Amino acid sequence: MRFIDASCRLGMPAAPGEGMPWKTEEILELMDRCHIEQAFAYHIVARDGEVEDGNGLLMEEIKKDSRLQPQWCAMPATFREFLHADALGDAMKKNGVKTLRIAPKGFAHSAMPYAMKELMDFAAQSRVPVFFDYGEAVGDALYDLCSAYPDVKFVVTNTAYALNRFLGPVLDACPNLYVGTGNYVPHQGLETFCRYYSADRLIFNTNLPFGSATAAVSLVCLANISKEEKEKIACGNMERLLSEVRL
Amino acid sequence: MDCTKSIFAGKPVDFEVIDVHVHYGDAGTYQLCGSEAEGIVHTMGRLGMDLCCCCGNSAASDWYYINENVAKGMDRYPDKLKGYVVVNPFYEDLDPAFWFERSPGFIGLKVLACVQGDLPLDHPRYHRFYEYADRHNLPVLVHTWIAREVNEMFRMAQKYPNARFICAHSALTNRPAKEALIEGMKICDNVVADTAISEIYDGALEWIADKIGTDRLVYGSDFITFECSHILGRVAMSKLTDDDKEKIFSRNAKQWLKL
Repeated sequence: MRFIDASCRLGMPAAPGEGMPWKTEEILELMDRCHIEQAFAYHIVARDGEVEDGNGLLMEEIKKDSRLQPQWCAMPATFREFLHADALGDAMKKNGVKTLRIAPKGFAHSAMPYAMKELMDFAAQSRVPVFFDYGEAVGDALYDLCSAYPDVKFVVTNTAYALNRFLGPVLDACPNLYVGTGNYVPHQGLETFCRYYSADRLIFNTNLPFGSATAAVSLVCLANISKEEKEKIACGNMERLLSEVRL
Repeated sequence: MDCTKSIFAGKPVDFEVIDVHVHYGDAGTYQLCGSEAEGIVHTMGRLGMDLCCCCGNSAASDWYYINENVAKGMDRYPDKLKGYVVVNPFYEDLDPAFWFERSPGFIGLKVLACVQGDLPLDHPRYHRFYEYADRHNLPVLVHTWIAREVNEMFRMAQKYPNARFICAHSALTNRPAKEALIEGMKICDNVVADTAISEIYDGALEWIADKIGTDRLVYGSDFITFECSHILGRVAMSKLTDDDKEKIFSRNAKQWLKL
């Protein structure tokens, strides 16, 4: 089975776990072990708030291997801390960037249209999938975000095991929400998700290096779902989202 | 053994698997699927697991209800399920002996202090349970997460050397807890650690195995609190040797739990 990792992280963590393989070469070695053909990565410096510098560091880092693809962090252009939509589109096209990551809580800005409309309009028009960690939009905030921008395809990553009662109603109400499988670990979670919402809305990711690639591939491979469903989750759904991007 | 090949084929790994840390029954606070015996046994079949050692969920509430629930499950699947008696320090009428008479499936005790008033693990109210385990040479599965809890558990392990402690989670939680575990294991040989944690990074298992040795690690997943296939896969696809994996998956548990 082919895997595409829809979201992982590159760069030096402030507090790496004991034995954590965070260097790019170590992540590439894990990709080999886990049959991960491609990984969409963002840079830790960008995620820590130095967005443009971090995105630049990412472009340098991914030159080490063509299997690494860029995922830029983004924020509203307020105070000219980040690119306006037109310039962002040009820069993404020039650099071959097809996915974005937002962090409203991490970057301390509102996720509502009065603050993020321009960025989200751009994502909707260009059909660029927008990633964010569950911690950025917990509970009602998840619904607020997805329903505020119904034309944006959102992928929530870095979830957990105790969120289904929140997640389910949002999935019902917001067909534009997809779920990253990295650490989406309710018991029989993938089986239940496929039964209620279909495999089409699950996107494989690892959350490397803070997540585990071996755990992530095992979760999908050992799930009690069909081979076709596994293939959609492993790579098919992400390839479909990427094929729809218009920059 | 090529565990990666098995996993990619969606098939069980070629190891006997004994899970020493399984929860049974709904947690109440969040949605769960397959939390009773049939769901657990179904997952065991899917993943090729041989034996699950369960403790009742909702340890924060009625201890009779949750222990009886596990006993009934073991009645139905005596070859698949074993149990720990969940103790509660606030009820003097909780007699572990009753439960060992109730079901031969009970093999030890479970202490989960953080949901029972957050008493220290070495609080005097818990001592009679440790004494019981010490007297009967029983395993005690102890929920720990932070260094304070690990240190409290080791104080009890020293005080009750015939009890066989299983330190849950802390082999893989945070640096201070891991350091406490490593130091404690140097002075206390009646403690092993399990592999249970929901979110883990690659390399963590290999690191702790190098520090405490694979003889002192047992496979525990914490399912059905959450899924277990990713934890099973993490152990199976680790860089440890097949011999080490076999120890973790079953050999150590058989010895520790006297199975």
